[in-house]
Parts: sequence; C-alpha cells; structure tokens
Amino acid sequence: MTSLTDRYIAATLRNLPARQRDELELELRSAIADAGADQGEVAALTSLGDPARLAASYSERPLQLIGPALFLDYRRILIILLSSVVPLIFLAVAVTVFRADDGLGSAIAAGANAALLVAMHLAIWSTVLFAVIERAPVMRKRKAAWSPASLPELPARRIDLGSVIGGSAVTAVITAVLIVMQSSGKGPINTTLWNSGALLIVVVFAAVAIAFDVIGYYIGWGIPQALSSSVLTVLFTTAVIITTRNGLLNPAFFEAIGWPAAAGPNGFGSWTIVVITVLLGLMNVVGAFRRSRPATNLN
Amino acid sequence: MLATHRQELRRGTAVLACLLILQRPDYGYSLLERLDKSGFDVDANTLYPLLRRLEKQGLLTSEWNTDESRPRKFYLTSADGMQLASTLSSDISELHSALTTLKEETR
Repeated sequence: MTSLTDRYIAATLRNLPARQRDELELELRSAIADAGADQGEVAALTSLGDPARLAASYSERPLQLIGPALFLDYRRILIILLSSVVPLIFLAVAVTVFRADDGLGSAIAAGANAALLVAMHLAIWSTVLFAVIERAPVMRKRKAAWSPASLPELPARRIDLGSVIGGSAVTAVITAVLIVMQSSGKGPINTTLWNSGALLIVVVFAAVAIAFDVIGYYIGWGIPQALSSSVLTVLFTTAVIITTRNGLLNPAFFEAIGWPAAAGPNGFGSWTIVVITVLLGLMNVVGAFRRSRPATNLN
Repeated sequence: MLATHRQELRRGTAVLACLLILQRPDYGYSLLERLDKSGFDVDANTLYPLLRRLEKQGLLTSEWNTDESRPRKFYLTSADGMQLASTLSSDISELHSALTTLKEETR
C-alpha cells in the first residue's frame, strides 16, 4: 500500500502541468516531511487541504466557473436569450402542432417540450462559452497587446451588448424553429436529407455565429474576425444554394400548404431560399467589415 | 466576524512579513512557523504557492540545501524583494500615522 503522502502528492501533481511536476514534488515532499516530523503525517496533510485546491493555487487557475468580471454579462445574455427565445419557440411549436390538428393538449405538450429543450441548450452553451472566455485570459489581454496606441478607442471598437444579443437571439430562434418543425416530420425540409444529419451544418453554423458574436464582444472585432466570419458565411451560403438546387425542400410540406410547385429546383420556395440566403450572407459580410472599422465618434 | 476582519487586515501584510523574514535564508515549513509565531495567520496551502509566485516575480531566490538529512528549498529575499519590502514598510507606516491622525481628530 502506498503512503498517504505519496497519494497526496500524486493527487496534487495530477492537476498541474508536467513541466512543474518534478520540482513541485520535491518541494511538497520536503514540506510535508518537515510538518510531519512535528505534527504527524495526517495533521500535515490535513493542514495542506484538498490537493485539487492546492494545485489550483499553484497554477493560479480560477476556482470559479465564471468570475466576477464576466458574471454580469453572462447573466444578462442568459436572461435575454431565455426570455426572448424560449417563449417564441413555445408559441411557434405549439401553433404548428395545433394547426396540424393534433389537439390542444398535444400542442401545448410539444411546445413545452421544445421550449425546455431549447432553454437547456441555450443555458449549457452560453455557460460553456463564458467558462472558456474565463479560462482564456489571453482572449481578453490579446487585444490590448495588439494596439496599445488605440487604447482610448477600445470600448468604442467593441460591439455593444445589444447587437450581440440581437444577433444571437435571432440566429437561435430561426435555428430552433426549424429543428422543431423538422423533428415533428412535417417540416419544410426534405425528410430524408434531414434524417441523414447533413443539416447539422446549420446548427454548427448557428453555434459558431453566436460564439463569434460573443467573443467579438470581449476581444473586440477587427479585420481577422471580419475575414473569418465572411469566409464562414460564404461557405455556408454556397452549401445552402447547392443543397436547395438538389432537393432541399420537402414536397409533402408544400403540398400540405397547397403549393406543390414551390418545392421543385426552380420552384418559388427554392428561389426564395436562395435569394434570402444570399441577401443575409451579403448583409453579414458587410456588417462584419463595418464592425471592424474604428468608430469615428467615441461617445 | 471579528476573526474575518482581523484576518483580512493581516492578509495583505503576509507578503511583507515573508520578504522581511527571508532576509536570512529559510525554508518553507520554518517560515510558516515563524509567521505563525509573529501572529501572521498564513495557511500552508497559501504560503507555498505564494513563495513560488514571489520567486517567479524575482522577489525571492531559492536554492536546494542537501546538507541535512532531508533536502530543503531555502528562499532568500532578492534585491528587488528588499526594495519592495522597504516600499511596503513605508506604506504601512504611512497608514499607521494616517490612522493615528484620524483617531486624534475624532477624539
């Protein structure tokens, strides 16, 4: 059986970067031996406390998921996302199911189900995103290092919280409504294509777009962010156009709403999607480069 | 509550106390005991990481001593550390005289 000291040291070092381990092991061993000679091994280890806490103290890692510097923004974004997106999802799903003549009870159940699911996703991903920002101080420090000369302009170069929330909320609503309609089997998208999982790219795009928005708010929005956001938008737009021309839409959906011709490759529905996607993509690209321009007035 | 306030007041002075004690080289556990005796209530799990941090900042230097039965890491306050110690000391004196003035004014 290994000694308590060995176990304690192993538990501490496990949470530390490898390059620090050898020296720290020697240090800890001698400190524990000194204290142990005085008070006994158990008392010595007890006074050092939880090894994970000790390791965090050595590596100066935060002992909170989201710290005071970010917490207020985190709470604000979470509250606004939840209070705007979740009721909309509930309504959208409940109305869709109700109109499909599934009765009021199942409409409310489906709405509540979808609302709960979306709420959980919003909460989890916002938390993950902020926890990452908390653990990557580089992301916040880097900006100051890039352009010390423009320090007074920094707050103005940041996107204001309103546009972040607006962008994130709209993206989340559109994505979620689509997901929910599809999973009821009565959505506008080709069911086979949907079930193949290929359209997960939409979810990925939405998630990346939200992450871009929020990260841009913290580290500022410059040409690199504008470029990568534009590349992403172009890729996404191209993918949407190609897929639409190859039978993205569900003919059954358009027959059900009394417009069977709209679903064809040259039908009205397909063209609308292409035009809207291209327009949104253009707006996105223009907006991304606008954001990267230094603000002309500081107030 | 009383203990919390006193602890908070002393916390900021632990660095100064370390820098002053380590003008003569000493090792972790001995330093811990001397701090304790002088009334600075620093926990072992705060002190050891603190020593490492101060060393990284160049305020302490360290050397392993293998003369005795078990090897020990001895810390010594560097020139930068001494400078910080004198700055902190004069800050403390200033605080003390400011507090004395306050007490006299309100008498």
